[in-house]
Amino acid sequence: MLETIERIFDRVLLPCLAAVGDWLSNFDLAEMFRQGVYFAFHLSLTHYLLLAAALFTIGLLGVMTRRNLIALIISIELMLNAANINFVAFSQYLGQSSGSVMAVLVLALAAAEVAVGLAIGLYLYRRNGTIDVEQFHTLRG
Amino acid sequence: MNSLTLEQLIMLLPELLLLVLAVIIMLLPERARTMAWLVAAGGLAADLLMCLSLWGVNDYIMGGAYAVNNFAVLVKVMLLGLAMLNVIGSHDFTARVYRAREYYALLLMAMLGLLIIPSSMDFITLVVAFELVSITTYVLPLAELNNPQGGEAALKYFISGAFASALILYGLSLLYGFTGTMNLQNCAQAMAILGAHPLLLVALVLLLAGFGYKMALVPFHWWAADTYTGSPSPTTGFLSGVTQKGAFVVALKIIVVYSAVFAPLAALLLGVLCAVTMTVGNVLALKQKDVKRMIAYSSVAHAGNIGVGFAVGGTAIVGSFVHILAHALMAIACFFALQIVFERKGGTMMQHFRGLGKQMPGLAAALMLLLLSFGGVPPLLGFWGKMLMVVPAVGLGGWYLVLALILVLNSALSLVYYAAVIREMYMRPAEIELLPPAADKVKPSGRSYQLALWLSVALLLAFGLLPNWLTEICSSALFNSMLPW
Repeated sequence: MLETIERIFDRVLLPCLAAVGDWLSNFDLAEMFRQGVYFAFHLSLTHYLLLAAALFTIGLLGVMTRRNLIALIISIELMLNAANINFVAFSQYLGQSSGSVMAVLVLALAAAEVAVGLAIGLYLYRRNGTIDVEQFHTLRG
Repeated sequence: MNSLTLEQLIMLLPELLLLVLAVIIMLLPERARTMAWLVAAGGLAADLLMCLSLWGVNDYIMGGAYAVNNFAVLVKVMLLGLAMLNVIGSHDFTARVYRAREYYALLLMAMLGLLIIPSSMDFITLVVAFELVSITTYVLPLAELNNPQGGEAALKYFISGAFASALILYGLSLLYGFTGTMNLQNCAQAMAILGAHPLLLVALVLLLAGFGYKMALVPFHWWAADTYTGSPSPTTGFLSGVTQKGAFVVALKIIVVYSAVFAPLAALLLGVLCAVTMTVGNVLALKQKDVKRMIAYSSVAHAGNIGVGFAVGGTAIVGSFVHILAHALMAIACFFALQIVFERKGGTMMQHFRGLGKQMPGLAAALMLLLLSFGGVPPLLGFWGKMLMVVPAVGLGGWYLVLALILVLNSALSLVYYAAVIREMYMRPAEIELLPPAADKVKPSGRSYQLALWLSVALLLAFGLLPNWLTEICSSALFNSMLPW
């Protein structure tokens, strides 16, 4: 038992402490600030991917939490646009055109999808007077 | 290389014909329902012949984005034949829906997308074709405007479908960024060079989730039962028998791309999904009182069955294709039979089926054959697909053996609820009287449903009794053109 604890201290905790101590002793606020500024002002592929990932996550959360059909469609639109940003960013980064072509087509697809979705929403509103998707639960089991 | 010559355009004639026919149908006068039906059915038949004449051609056009080979021709002929059955049966249905022209035009546009899917060798073509199929079918559950559940069915289908498209496109963007190409072949080669990378796995999971929605595999199946129950039966036949099968073809293409690097892992993921799908689908179907909803859940279970072949790979993929054809035929025929029962007895609950064997002997016999085929009873086609998947799986051993065992046990389990319907039809006295067949102009007699039903049953019996011919064609087409590209 004691040996085990000793081993844990020796091999895991003490090296970790040493690493943290090293990092703290070498910590340079100015250097970190400089790196941060560099990252913020020199756009690279990473920025676009992070933006797309954030948009995709916001859209995903929106689809899972929103109950209004319009809000759902907007959330899905956010997810599609995240894919679009990815396509364009990769296309620029790789120096190819096929990603940009895909982005243009995705825009058209998204427009068509929204048109159909809004038509369905209009039908439901005229018939039931609501577009809250939780109101539609006659089919279950 | 990218220009399109006139000779190459001939290979695109089936697709162009469908596009022209869809436009022609929209230009017909509002009242010309039979004319629209005739144009759609005749056009699909002509298309089927055109596709058949392309058998044996092996060529790439549009700079390698579009391939015409035996695999593509096989899938096209299969889907066109199934869609034709569905259109033939829809005549009496469209005689009383509000917009018959739009119904046929949308079906033809969906078929256009489905014809492009098996040929596309490029993610751009693949996704655009698949979205064409999805977007045109979102409104099909609304074909019958006075159906109270149509709106809910369309809503659920639309939300799940659009969400799945977003997942697919995001996964595809990651895949594109990582492999640097949109071409399926180049993508597979790039993956073989790059090796297994976690980002590729993320893309695979997103794509599997997206196509899982479209194929109605289990964690993503919630829309399927509702949409299939809420739509009018002829539409359900098309959604479950034709569009859903298109998703399987796309999934197969993506699995083939991934098989270079992720073969065991992708197979394991898909195998687990399929095992869960079969079991959950069958258990949920067991407790249904509405036969239409029961068949809808059994469609979910059958989606799992088909996926087993993809997970096992090799010769089991032939079994998958036989089962795709078998389930599509059974689903189309069964939903037409349910539509007849719905129109003549006023519903599709269990009690509406009591005594059907005496009241409508022909229909009951056809329905019994279909249900037995669903359950995988030997002389029918539903058996051969499962058989061709189980045998290679058992041969491979390991966890594939468990998968095969789950498939066989699920077939036995599914027979319980199919047999319950058969028992209601033959062993119980009738409680609900038949409605008279209304043969006036507004509500025709339902002869077209009968025609499509019997055609499908005849095909099912013919293929079931002579399975060799079908499996040979399937295996030659698959292994000559699809798998080694």
